Amino acid sequence: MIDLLAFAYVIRCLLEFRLDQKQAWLSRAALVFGAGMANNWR
Amino acid sequence: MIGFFPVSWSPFSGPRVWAVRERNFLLRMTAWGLAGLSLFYCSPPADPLAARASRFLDGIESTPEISGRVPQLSAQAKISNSRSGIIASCVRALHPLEVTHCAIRRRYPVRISSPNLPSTVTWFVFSDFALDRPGPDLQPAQLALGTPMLTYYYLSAVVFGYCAGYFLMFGSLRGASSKTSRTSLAEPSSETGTLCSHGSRRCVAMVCILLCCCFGAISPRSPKPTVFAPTVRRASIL
Repeated sequence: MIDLLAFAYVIRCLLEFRLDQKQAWLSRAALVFGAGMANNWR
Repeated sequence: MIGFFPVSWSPFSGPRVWAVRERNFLLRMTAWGLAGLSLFYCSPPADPLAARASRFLDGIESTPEISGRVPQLSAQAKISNSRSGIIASCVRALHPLEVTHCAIRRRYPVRISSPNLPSTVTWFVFSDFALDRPGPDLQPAQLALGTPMLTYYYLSAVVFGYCAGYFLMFGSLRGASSKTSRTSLAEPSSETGTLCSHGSRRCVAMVCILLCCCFGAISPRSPKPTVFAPTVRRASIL
């Protein structure tokens, strides 16, 4: 469930970036992606 | 999500990077991804098996992926499960790519009068990609197909990046055109059309190259000589 939550937040970051074109959303998406990878490593 | 490292999908936002001319974009995304990935080093203290380790590095080395103690299958299970399972997993991973490419390529070069269509199709594929994943028991890693499945996850990451590139490219073009004028939605300018055509060609070329690499990595290699433990044990007894 945490992986799905992280994936959903990444999608949300992409959507927000699509709206206001702020780079911070992509940075958040990358950070959460990395955290999701660390959680799903095993 | 292991293979979904931002490095693997951010190059497929290349049309947007090329349009905005941001040179540090990939570097910044990689840095943020590594920052998130560094949370992996928080897992050994939380792991009870790793907590027995005396040192921090011992705890990290106790993870199966790093220590190499991945459970092995028997030769018969590998033969019966590997090919069909790998092909089914790859076809399933490529399904969003096929839908996105066919739908947008058929519609976009004709007219851009309905810019909602590519975004809608891409969002549908995103939803399919996110929600239609197999359950925890049907994940390729749990099926134990007998081959390292990191390349499969990387294949999924390629598909995800391809869809992300389309999604961001069409969203950016639509937002930029709506800011400038409303008539530009009806007729694409030559600059945006050239941008999309070059971006799509680059995306397709990169995806083809990476798919060939993935299939080459997944394809069965030459069989290694196997040693059966019961035979060795019986021979040693005799």
